[in-house]
Amino acid sequence: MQKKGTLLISVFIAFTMYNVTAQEYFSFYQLRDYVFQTQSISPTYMPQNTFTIAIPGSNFGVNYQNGFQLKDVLVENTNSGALEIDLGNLLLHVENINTLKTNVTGHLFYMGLRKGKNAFSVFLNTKTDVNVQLTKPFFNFLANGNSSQVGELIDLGHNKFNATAYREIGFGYVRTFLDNKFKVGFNLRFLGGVFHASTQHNAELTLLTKADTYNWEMTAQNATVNTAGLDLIINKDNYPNNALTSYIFGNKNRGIAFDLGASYQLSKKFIIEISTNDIGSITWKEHVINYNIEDGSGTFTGLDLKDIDDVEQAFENELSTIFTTNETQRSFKTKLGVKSYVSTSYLPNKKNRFSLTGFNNYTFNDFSPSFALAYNRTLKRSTFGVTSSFGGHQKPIGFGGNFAVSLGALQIYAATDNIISKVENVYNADFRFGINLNLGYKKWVKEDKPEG
Amino acid sequence: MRKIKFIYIVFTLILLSVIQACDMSYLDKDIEDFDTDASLAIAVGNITYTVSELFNEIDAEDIEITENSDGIVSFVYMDTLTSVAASDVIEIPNQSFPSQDFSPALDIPSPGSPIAKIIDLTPSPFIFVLNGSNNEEFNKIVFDGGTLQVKAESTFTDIDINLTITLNSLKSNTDNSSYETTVSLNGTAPEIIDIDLADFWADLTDDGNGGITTNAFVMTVSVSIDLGIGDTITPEQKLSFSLDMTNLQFEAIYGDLKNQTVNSESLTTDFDVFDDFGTGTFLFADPTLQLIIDNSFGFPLGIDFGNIAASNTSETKFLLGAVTDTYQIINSPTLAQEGQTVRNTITIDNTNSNIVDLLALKPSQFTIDISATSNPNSDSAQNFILNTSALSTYVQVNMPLDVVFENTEFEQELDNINGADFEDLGETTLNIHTINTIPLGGSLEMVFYNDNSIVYTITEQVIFAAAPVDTNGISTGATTNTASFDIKGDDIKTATRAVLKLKMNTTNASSNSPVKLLTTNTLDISITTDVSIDINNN
Repeated sequence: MQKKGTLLISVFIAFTMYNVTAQEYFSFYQLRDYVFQTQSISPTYMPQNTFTIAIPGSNFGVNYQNGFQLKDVLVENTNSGALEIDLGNLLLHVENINTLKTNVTGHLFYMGLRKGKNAFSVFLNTKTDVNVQLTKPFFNFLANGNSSQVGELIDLGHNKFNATAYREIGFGYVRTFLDNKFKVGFNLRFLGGVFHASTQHNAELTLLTKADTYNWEMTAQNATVNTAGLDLIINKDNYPNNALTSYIFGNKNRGIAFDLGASYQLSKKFIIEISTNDIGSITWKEHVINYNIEDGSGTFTGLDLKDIDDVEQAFENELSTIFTTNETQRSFKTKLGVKSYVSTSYLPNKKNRFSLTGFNNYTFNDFSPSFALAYNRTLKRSTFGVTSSFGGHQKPIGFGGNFAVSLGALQIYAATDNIISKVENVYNADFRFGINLNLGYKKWVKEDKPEG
Repeated sequence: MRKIKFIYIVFTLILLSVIQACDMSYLDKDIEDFDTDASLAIAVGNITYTVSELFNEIDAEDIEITENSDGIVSFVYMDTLTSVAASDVIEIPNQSFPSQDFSPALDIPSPGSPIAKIIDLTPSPFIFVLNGSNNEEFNKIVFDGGTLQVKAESTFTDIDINLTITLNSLKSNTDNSSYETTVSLNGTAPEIIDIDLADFWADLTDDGNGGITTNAFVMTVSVSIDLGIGDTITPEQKLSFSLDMTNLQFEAIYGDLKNQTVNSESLTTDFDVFDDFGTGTFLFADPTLQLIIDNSFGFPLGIDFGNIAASNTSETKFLLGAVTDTYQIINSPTLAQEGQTVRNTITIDNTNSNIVDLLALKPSQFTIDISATSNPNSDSAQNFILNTSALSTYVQVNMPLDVVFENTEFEQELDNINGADFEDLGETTLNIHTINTIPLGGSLEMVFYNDNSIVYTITEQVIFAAAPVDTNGISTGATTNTASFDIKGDDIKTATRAVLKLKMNTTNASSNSPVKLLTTNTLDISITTDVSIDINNN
């Protein structure tokens, strides 16, 4: 037993030696059965009390992760002490693929009920996800323009953007089997899309600056930005006063999503868990605008300098002969960014738990998992723990912590993957906080203990 | 219970400390303007100049750029110099003809006539000779205005005399009939007849005796003496007739107008072709100066070109050569061409003048003092002049670009530059690539000023190289050239004006060999730039 604990600690330290990153809500994940809202990221968690209701408006989570730090782009001038945007410095710190992902979740309503081997939940959430993927060539283009890449193909096609704001109403169900060794759960969510903007999947845009003439050879394929609802904000003067409000609370942008999860206790001291969330999509039908560049290729050879009155207009006209742009109102479907957790835990005794958790976000169909080593200690009316997360695209290890404590029926919980010291050093930040009203706490604790 | 409270407090403190630990002070600092080293490499554009377009671009705005029959691009400068009107050439002076008498030589002494009777007499025609101011021999004058005053007087005291006066030469415009009127003289009081000449014309060729002459104004008179009983007449008593013509205006004059002098006032024409050119040689090999003279006077003219001169700010040069040695004849419409205009073109070129030298001055002015004489080669002629006749003179300077440019500078000042507009222009390299089939090369210098202080100079560089030529000075191929200029907004942010200097040299200019700039010659320019992007986050 001691060996296994030592092994886990060794792995923990080993990962600490590498510059790797933390990821999504790992610390919150470790609160497991103690906090009912963990069902939103792992549907298999079974609450330890009979009835839980979240205090409305008091449960929320925010998550931010970025491939570079604020100080990489907002650099302190050593002479003046002021900050300056330095894209050249940023270029030194970005990788081939850089992602920026944020999530804001608000639990407007959450109610859970446990009955024997079954648990049920009903919830109403709002979520906003912003995901950006930018390539190093893009940053190079921003920082240096194309002068340093004359004769080289600049591929801007792998830069992606996806931002979605939606609300969801749904219910969850968990059931235990095999004397509580095996648990299966799911959430079914009905989605109402509010705002969306994204680059179309497989959009391609390339630029080649010819060495001898500086002619720009450009190609575009599937270069479309799909939006929904944004025109109500951008061109609000074109709509009646209550148009935005009416749209937010009732539109035809609908979708369904579900989360699945399962856990199995391998032995008295080992548990494995798996969950996959946000499997689903939204079909955007209302207030949709697609901004399109028609597929094509062409070469910008400069302007015909004869009889130019308005250079800007002439430039626009010339580009329009190469690429044709248009706006359409085609409905489109967007998938939620599927996220998955895999975790294994070692419980040397009732009070202590070591776990290794892996996470991946498939928003851009990429696979760059991140991991967390965690330790949680559980007392009679509380649990608390620390996490160390790493992996993903890059960046240093993150240290986080969590706790959930009950005072009578009142439960307060908080979790973060990164204890932030200085904002300029942050790659990742997340924070979960909430207050619940738990009734029947610990009623099921004894029953849940599987036979070892 | 106490333990629970303790744990609760501990975790609350942990939570608060985590929040407190987040140090946001980094964002309290000032944020400077966004600055970037990014630069764009981009093709700015392309333009192809023909020779005509090239010179149009350098703002020789008062010349027409065309081509001659050899396909050589030509500068053509045109100006209207003068228009001489008929009234400037000739006028008919007032005529005051001496009184002419008619004495019937009757002698009826006292106690006078025993009976009353009518004595009719017909004296010989009276001839009044018109005098022109220059011995002109008038055949016919069509009046446009003026007054003819006929005065009849009698010395027959107390005898009534009736006169029928016929002005044979004065013809009605309506029916060509001679003017006729009757006058009664009662005693010695004169009778005066005023005739408005606007309705008449004068035939001055009848000498009164059936012969042909000129300048003769004929009047015949029928005299009827009403003699009463007791009236006496002495042989000395007479009738007197006089004519006066005043304020004569004509519609047309016909006859031999002799040698009228037609002097246009000295004319100075601003010749701004070279205004934008500075120092350096600008030598046309085959220029012509054409004087185009439209003549609707009915007589030829001989023009003296000895007083044509070109001048710049420091030097004046007169036109010399064969063209100035003799009168240049200006033809006129014949009588059959009355009312028409005959165009005369007199070409002054390098075969009959020193026009090449005049243009080599890069003159800013031409002074043209034309002196002309009518009927230069004929002592007698049938001329005419209408009150609408005119002599209009135009000058056309044809300068085919069969030229030598040697370090010829073209300057253009760009006023009202606001350098601050370029402050955001980062490091910029402007690359000018040229393919030139014109046997003319150019190098460019640009100087930016703040008022009179130089703030930045783009040093002179060849931006297009002259094309090679054959022995006739015609382009045989193309040359390529690339010039790069570096500039940044900070360099010129205080500039208020700029002077652009283009120094031009034709192929083989140093040997003074002219080249022909053809309409088919072109200068292809493509401009690329590496421009740094300076974006201000304000």
